[in-house]
Amino acid sequence: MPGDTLKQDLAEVLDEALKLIQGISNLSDLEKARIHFLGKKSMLIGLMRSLSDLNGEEKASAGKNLNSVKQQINQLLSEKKISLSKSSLNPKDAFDLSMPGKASSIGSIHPITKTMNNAIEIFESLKFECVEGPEIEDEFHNFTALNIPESHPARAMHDTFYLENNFLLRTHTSSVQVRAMSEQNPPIRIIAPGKVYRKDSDITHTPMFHQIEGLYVDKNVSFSNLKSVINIFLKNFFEEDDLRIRFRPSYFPFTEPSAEVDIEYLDSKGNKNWLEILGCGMVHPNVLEMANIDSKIYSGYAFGLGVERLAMLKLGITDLRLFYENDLRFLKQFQRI
Amino acid sequence: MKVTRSWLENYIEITNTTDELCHDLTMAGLEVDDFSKIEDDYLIDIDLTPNRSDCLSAIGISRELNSINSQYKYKSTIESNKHNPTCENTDLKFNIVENKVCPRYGYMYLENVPSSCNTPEYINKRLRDIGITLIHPVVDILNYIMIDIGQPMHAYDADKINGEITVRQAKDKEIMSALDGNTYKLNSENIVVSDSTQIMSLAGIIGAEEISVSKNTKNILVESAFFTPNAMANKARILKLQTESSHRFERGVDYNLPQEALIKLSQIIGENKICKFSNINFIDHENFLPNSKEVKIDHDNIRKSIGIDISDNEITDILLSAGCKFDKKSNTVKNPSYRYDLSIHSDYVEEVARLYGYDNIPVTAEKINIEPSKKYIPFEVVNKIRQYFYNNSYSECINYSFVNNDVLEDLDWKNEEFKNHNKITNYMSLEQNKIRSNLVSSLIKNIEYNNNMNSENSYRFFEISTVFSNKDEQVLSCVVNGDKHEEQWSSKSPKFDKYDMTTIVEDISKLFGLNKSDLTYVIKDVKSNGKKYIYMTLSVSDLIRKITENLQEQYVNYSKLPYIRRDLSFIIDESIEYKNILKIIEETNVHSLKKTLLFDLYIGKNIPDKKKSLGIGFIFQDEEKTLTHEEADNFIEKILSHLKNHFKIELRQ
Repeated sequence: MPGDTLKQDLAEVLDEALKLIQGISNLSDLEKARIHFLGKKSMLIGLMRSLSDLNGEEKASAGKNLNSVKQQINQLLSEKKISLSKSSLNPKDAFDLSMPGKASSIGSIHPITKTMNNAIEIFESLKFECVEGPEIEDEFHNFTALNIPESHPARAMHDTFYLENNFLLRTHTSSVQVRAMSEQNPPIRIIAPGKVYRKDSDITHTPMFHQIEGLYVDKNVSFSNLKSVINIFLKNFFEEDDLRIRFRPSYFPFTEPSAEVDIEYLDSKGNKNWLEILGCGMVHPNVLEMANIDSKIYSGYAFGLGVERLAMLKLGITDLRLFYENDLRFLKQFQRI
Repeated sequence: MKVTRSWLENYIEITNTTDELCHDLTMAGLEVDDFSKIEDDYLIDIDLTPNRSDCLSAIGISRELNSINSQYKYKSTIESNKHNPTCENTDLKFNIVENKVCPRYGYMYLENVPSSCNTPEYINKRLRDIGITLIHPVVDILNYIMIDIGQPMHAYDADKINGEITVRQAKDKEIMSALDGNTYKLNSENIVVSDSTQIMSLAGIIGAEEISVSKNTKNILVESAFFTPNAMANKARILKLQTESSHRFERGVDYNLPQEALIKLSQIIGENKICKFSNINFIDHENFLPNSKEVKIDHDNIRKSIGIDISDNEITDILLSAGCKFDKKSNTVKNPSYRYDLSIHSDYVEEVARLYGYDNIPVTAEKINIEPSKKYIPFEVVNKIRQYFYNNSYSECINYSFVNNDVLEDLDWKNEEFKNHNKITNYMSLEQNKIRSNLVSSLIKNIEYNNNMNSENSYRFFEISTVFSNKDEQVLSCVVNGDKHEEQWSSKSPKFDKYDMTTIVEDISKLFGLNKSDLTYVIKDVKSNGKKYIYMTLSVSDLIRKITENLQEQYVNYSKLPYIRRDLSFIIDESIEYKNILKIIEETNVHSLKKTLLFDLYIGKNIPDKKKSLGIGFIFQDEEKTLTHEEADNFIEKILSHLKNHFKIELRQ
């Protein structure tokens, strides 16, 4: 094969490659072009194979030309590949920092649960131990043992749901007090969180709600200690050291002296108001005696917190019923750990 | 209890603002709900606790203000002119059968009440101010006296009384048409005032319509009695009734008041020349009147249980200011007849604390042992489960424990039929008439509710609560519907299936170092209103029991030598449970088998009916030596032949 013919052929191949590769718009066509120009059956490779027929000098010169063309085509192919790749990238490789991620794996924990856990944590740090009691109670534990005899007008204060066979849905977690005192000897230092039920349903009442009962029975427990525990709890719960708290006399059959505790808050107009937040008092001696605890030796305090009310205040929820609608637009507002 | 500032000023001097006055009342336990300006006066609404019946009157509240702060000075009372009776008393006969219930029965006869007479203007105004409707001049005066000093009275049309007046138990099924327009069916639980032909009133609660005072009434019998609080308790409530009168009697009215009230009545009638009135008569059974109780005061106990530094004398002063009598020699205190709430020592502790001022009691921290707090395991467990669900995009719900009569409610938490629910005998609505035995139906309702309100493609809810079937059980349920993931750009989400629930059970068992087989759970699906829900319920009570049995985590040594994997694909009866296949593999006892993993399950095209194709990978590894391929082949051969011995299986290539 004369060198000139080869040169001419190579120039034609290169020219063809230039034109063809330029017009290619996708990677698969580019691959076809690669096979056409540089594949096993391509003219260029055929020519390379036939080099062995040539003598030394011719062989060297032709080889040089062939290699140069091959390199140029390779160059064209890889340049085209890069330019094509840029336009057909996997979208995930074209990373956009501002894009939304994939489906979130964060759910939500009910605000009642969060509030309850928050309160429990504070009381546990104050060395109260958690206990639980049954939601279906008898009259003895819910009323009688708490110094609320059948004829007592205070029974009317608790609108009770009754079940068959004289059972009832507990109207307060105070019933757990009674159980704890009959099972443990003083010192007793417990909290009892849980669901309670009252026959009441309007904007400010739901027939089921949550309470946390606290009880401390020991020697020399004073009202002044009760004030201290409640102060510590409320300031920690609301994360406000300057929170203003007041105790005012009230009446519960199972405590004496009894108190209601108010906290000061700013209403939507910026006015200072007192808001009732919990009830408490010194355990009534009749309650201690009924639990076989000598009220001459031991005294104690008890308190009951409404979890919904705490949650509403802390989270700025204005309608109690939202807690039990379980609307995702409500639940998903409380995603923080 | 509603009262006006000016009414109180009748008895005490008030120099501070109404705001301050209300604050003082509230801080002494007489919580002022609200106060509002009316003309040149203030209406004060006090929410009284049931123990303070002594404050159900203007005098009572004034007295209380004076004990709170002596700056609320008593005004010197203007002696009213004595008015002598102007007519004879009635010759009616009285028989107080229930003398324990009614140990004091007083009465007065009013003669020739003119039909044209008017309620005195000041009484009229005061009643109007506190929202009491005017009825009849005499009745208005009785109402006025009740609010003023606290004694409920009743007026009967004397001309309609036949024969002897008796205070007795009602007869069974006796009927009374009351002033409130209702008819009450009575029984021996009820105490009535009656004459020989009719019931005149439910004692201390409400009068009978027939014998009540009207515009045309000429002669009136006024009853001013004392009914014992214990006997009155519940009497009105069992009839679903509450009146100003029953409210006071069941909480306790001072037994000295019936007399004072009638004297006051004669004064008002005399002063205003309303009609003729008789002298006052009483039928007393003194033995049954309440006694003041003597209580020995333990000053140290008072100081210690309140936590205040206060002298013996200061304690005495406080008790005296509350109207108690104190005997220094015996150190005993006696309650005033209007304070039914002072009867045992702790009542006096409270009284001292109250009048000392709760705000003045110091805050004294308790001494606490420096020991780590004890965590309550059941709550820790439940919170870990919550955290797991939180991390897997589930939302926690809390639902009412009450449910309606839907079919879905007739399942217990194990998904078995259950119809023996705890029923609420006094439910508010049928929607909430029994206690739920499963959580799933509530969660399905939550999804349905959200589906109407929101546009989600995927719902993932869970709840942890006690359910009530044959016994109480704390359970966890999660219910899902729709796509596994929220809609997003990256890829199309698969639909939920039951194996997603299996994963949850396996994960929860891992959280507590248990195996899936240790847990009690069900995984099901259900169609409700055309939508498919997949759910899982697990017994948390049972899980907690298992955890407490469980030991600490322990390290187990593992091999550092290369592993060899061999896969088997075979066709087997669809009905054979995977756990049985695993059991057979385990029984082969190949020590080097470190892990068995199911990588493929296929049912359908190219697989015979009622058969399934499984692909299982086996990882072999030895602690001592590097395994050879021949050894691995021998192991897999052993496993395969063991499987073939137990099941009809067909290898796939």
